[in-house]
Amino acid sequence: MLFRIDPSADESLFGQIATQVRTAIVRGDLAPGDRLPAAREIAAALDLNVHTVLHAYQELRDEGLVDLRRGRGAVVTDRAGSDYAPLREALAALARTSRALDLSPETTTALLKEALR
Amino acid sequence: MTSPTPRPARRRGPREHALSTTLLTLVAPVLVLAVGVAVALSWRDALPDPVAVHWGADGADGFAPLTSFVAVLAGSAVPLHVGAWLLALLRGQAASTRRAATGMSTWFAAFLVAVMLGSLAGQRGLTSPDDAPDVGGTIALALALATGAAIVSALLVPRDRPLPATAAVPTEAARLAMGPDERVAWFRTVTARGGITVGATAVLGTAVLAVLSRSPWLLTVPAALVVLFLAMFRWDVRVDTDGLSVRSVLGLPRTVVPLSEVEQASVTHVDPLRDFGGWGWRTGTDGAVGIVLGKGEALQVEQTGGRVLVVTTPDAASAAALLNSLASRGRGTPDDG
Repeated sequence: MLFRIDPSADESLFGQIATQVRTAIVRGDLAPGDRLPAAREIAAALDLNVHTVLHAYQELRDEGLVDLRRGRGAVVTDRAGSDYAPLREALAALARTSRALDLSPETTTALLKEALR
Repeated sequence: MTSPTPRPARRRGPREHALSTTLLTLVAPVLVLAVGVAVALSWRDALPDPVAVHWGADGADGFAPLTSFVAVLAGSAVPLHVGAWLLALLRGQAASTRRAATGMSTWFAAFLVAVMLGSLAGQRGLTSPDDAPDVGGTIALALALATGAAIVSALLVPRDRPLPATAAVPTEAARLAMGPDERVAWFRTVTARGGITVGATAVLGTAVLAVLSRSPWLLTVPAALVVLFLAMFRWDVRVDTDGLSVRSVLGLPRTVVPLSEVEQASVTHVDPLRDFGGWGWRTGTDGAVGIVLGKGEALQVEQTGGRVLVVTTPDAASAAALLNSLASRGRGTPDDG
């Protein structure tokens, strides 16, 4: 699994990591029972503070997507095995429509946030 | 999906290890053998004639003249030492191959000599070989000694000298689009598939044999096999700015291809039996090193010095693209980022 961070982006570093794990789960690249790399491995590989990665893992745990177990690390939960196919389809439709209307990603995201209120 | 890249034609690296390889893989083990033969023959006057050379459940049941026994043992070992030496010399671009060949050659010499001298020592002073004591303990001790000697000899093999690539990663090699400030890494834990059945059969088979032969010492064999299979069973693979790292979850064995030594990474397809003769950490007929856990998709890295490393893993395409991009970046050549 790829992990990529962009220090110059708006989103926080831990947020970027959490987002990538969430996206992988929704896409089905990560399945219940899969173990994420150890926080210190990701931290070393991406030249990050290990607490940054732990923060991302803790956020994912609070959302119920991973279990954090001593000695085992972060494991994807059964709950994360929900059927995300409808969500993927909805996201694809939103992206298609937004492109067809020539809307920027920023505008689309803002509209989506409104819709989720 | 792009079609897998075929294995590159074998390229030989510089033959800089020829002397150390010859000394460690051929000369030292053959010397051990020669010393063992000399000692055994020097005991001729104290040994019965014939000597016991085979043991069954009820004690010694096979006998032979001392000289035949010693000659057959030593004679059967020599082709093995020569074979290991040739493998290390001609296909040992990678240090791990040279270490494995040296370890194997040393192990056999040490084991054979230990068993030979151990079984003969127990017969010194006997008038009849029927009274030869059981060799279970000798075999267990020989296994331990041989393993220790093999490990030491493997550690003495000099590692590959650092050899940075001079050429750029080919432009047609797959790459990953990366922003100028972006940091990217790839992680995967891979687990063995098909080889499990073979491994479990080997462990069960040797355990059954040990029990049937009523020699509890022989249980060291299945025990050692279990450790070996645990080490070969699951691996952590990582691509980052240090290069490609492949490490058993037990910690050892492990190997690293530094970014500076990456010539090209690609996706390939592996058939364990056909390409590497089996599962686990293997050397192919062209000297390529494979960490082969099942049939299918694999990451292939061509490394300087004629070395090739192949690791079976899902999502090899992302790993290859990232490795090419990171290697290009480090070399100051533009990538598609």
